[in-house]
Amino acid sequence: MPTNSLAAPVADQRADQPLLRLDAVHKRFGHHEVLSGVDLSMQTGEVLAIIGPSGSGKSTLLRCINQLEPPTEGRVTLAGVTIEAGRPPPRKDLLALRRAVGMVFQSFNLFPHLTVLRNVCLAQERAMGRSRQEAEAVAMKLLTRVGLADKAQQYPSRCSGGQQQRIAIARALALEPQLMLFDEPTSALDPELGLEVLAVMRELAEGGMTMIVVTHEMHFAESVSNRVLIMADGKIVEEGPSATVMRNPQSERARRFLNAVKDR
Amino acid sequence: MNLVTDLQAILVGIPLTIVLTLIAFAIGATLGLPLCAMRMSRNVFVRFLATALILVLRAIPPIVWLFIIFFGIGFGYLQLDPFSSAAIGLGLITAANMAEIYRGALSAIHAGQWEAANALSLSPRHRFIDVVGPQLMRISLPSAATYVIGLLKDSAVASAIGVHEIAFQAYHVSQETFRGLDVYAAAGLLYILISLPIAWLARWTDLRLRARVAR
Amino acid sequence: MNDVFAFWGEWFPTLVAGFELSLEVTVVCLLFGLPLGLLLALGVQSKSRAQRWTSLTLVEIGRGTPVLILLQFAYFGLPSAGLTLSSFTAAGFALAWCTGAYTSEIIRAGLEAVPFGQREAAIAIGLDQRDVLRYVILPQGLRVAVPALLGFAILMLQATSLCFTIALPEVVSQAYIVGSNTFRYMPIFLLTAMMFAAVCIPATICVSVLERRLGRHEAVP
Repeated sequence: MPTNSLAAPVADQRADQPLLRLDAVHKRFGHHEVLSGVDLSMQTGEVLAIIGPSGSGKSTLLRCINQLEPPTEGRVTLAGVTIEAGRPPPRKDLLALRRAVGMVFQSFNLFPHLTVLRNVCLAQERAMGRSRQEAEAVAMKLLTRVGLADKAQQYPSRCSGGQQQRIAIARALALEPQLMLFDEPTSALDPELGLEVLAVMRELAEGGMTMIVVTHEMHFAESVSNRVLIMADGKIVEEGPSATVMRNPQSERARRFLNAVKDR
Repeated sequence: MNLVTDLQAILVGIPLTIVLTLIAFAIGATLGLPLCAMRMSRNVFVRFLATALILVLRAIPPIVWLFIIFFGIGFGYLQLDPFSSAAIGLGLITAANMAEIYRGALSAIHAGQWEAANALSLSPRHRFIDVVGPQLMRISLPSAATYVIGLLKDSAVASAIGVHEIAFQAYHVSQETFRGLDVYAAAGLLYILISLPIAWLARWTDLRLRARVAR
Repeated sequence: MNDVFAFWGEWFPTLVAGFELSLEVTVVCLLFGLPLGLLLALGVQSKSRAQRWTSLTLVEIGRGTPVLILLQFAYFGLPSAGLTLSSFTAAGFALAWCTGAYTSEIIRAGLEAVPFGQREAAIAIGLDQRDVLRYVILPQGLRVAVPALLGFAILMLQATSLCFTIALPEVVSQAYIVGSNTFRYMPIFLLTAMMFAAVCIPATICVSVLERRLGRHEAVP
């Protein structure tokens, strides 16, 4: 087992230290600034929902956390390990970070040339060094948990969108991450298929997983998350307990957004 | 005899290489049109004939075609000199390839164009000349340009039947001087250099046509 | 007419022996050329400048020079540098270089066709660059490239016909000898053409069918 702090059990961490911290994170693509100074702090076990208009930088924020997009400026600290913008971290730190953070994508991104079981086992074997038997045992347990054990030997193309997304969640969970990122997990799904995915996410949250969910599902945001962040134009414009933010937003920008979605 | 005279001897082959390529392309681009029309005909027999012809022309190596035309036809039935044999042989193969390029381009032209032309009661001739033709030319241009560069390189096979183009000159210079390394390197470089203006011309023409025949 | 058939019957074995050699050369050039193509496809995108420039040069020369020149360079040119190759080796070397150059482009296009999300997902689950390539990108990218690679293999078989200029006794060379001995060029070259057609036409049709089949099993996005 790697001894890097990111892979250490959660209990080793001091209780008052946030699991995740973002300090003054900026992200620019050429001249276009997508994130304009984001500060964020998250405790273990928290469920954070991020909502806001398209183009507000929600997805980019998620990608900056697991360094899929390295920030242009600012600091990302996860479980005590800090990554500064402009100073590329050593490869093993980067890999350890990505194992500690699981990500679920809007378009699922399952590997079409591998069976469902292989999809969930691949990273376990290659990134964690587990044996094939171990990996398959863990995979089957996770697939059972998301209700898809019977699909293990099938290929992703034979599964519905909702099933594929649940498999993607199992794939991300297989690495035993400390934090799960969800990037609009149900946006590409029919409403009915989306429900089964949201159910799995709800169960995950109730089990104590630390999660950040970028979503358009307002009901889910309010009922499952502890805190809600509203983003617009690359900044956080409103932040607070879910009920407060959703029912009684303080800022004008947040109010405008929430009214727009309410009328739909 | 030194490297400079070697080079000069090879350069002598340039005109024939270029002329052969151009003539073969002219033959092929022209014949490719009726061949493509046959390929897309509604008549099953005509379509089959064209498909078979294209398949056969492309399945047999160029050198074999040149030998058939030069030694086969050229000696017995007609008197064909090496250059004409090469031009005809490469021209026919080009026709087959251009027919396929035109076919691809036609399928890329929006179906609505045909309907619009019909709605305006344009005769088939005018429909082609004014509406479909220009778009066909513009869409085919990139593939055709790539093909011309390929044809430039294929023209080297003509050296095998005695056309005094670049490859022929390179062979004879290397046999005489035994400086094969430099000679063939120079010849290869020459082909690459000649292909550059074609690529640039194609890009320039494409941009000009895009402005006039914008989709 | 019977006369021609008799003629064909008489010389068929000779041509077949030559054609076998043509096939052997094709197999050898693919055996070395395809891995080279993969190396070059990765090489032109390498972070190392030296790797990038070397790969680019090899590709541009392999693609920009006529196959005939490459063949004659290998057989007539290299001896001046002290390296004398047999016809077969020279043919294999030149054709493998050509194969590597062209297939590097085909493979590169195949790799680029893999959806970007695949790479992101692979990175996000903690696979390192080598594993991302080996387990996720290459399997999908190469599958896309297969029809084009097979089509190219057929072109390489046709390219072996140029090897007669470097004294390789393949089928065209045999046909030429028969022709110059009997003066019956037309029939012998027609027979040669038919041999190529007999292999290349079915192969081309199979590749088209394969292309259509592969296009049907697209992954659900």
